[in-house]
Amino acid sequence: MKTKQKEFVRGYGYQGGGSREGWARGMHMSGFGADFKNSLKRPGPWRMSIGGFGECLPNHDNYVEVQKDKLDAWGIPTLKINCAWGENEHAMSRDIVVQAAEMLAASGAKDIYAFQEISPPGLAIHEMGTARMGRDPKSSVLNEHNQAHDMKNVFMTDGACHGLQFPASTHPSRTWR
Amino acid sequence: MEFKGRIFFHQCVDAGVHAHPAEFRDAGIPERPGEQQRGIGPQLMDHHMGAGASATMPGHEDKMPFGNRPNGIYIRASAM
Repeated sequence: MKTKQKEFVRGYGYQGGGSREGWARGMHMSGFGADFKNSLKRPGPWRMSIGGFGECLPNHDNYVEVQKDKLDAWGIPTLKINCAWGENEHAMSRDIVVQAAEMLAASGAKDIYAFQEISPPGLAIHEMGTARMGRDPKSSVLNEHNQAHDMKNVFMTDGACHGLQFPASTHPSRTWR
Repeated sequence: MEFKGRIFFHQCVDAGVHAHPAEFRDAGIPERPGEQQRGIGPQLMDHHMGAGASATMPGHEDKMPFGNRPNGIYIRASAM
């Protein structure tokens, strides 16, 4: 895969926004008395925050399996999830912090607070993969219509077809098709 | 689990959806050499988050938003 990055492959985006601080900023300030409390009645300075959403590489060690001997309260076999971030995800997460701080600094921000507490897999609720799409039934589960190669009357209409975590173009292209 | 019907559309949410490909593998699809390579079950993915930065933006203190904006901002690389 071609990439401009040295430390990792694939990419990430940011989501964020700006807002004015409220009275709760007083919890982290020194001060007391009527003047202090009155000062907190007015909106505080603007804060800007951006957080990264990074791609995860497809990895055969990240998989789910059905536990036939462990049923839930309705008799349905439970799912065992085996999933952990690899070095590429951690390297990307480190870069997200550096670039976020640099962008904020370049736009004139002050008191930059960088954070990196990488979320556990599943927290972003953007799960994809496990039934990849492809032309060759030997190497994929679903064909170009999200139809199971081996069971022609089964269509999967979610993100399980993804071979790469690239929903922004894969979902629309599937819809148009 | 057993399903009977002419056509099945599968759409679930969260990790539950991944149980069904695994169920198909266990239930109906014949075992073949290199089953793992075909991609049923493995290659579970999710976006990772929790990294970023926040800061104070000086100025603009005469500006105040009214109501709730329905969205924030997105910064996307072309490869995302």
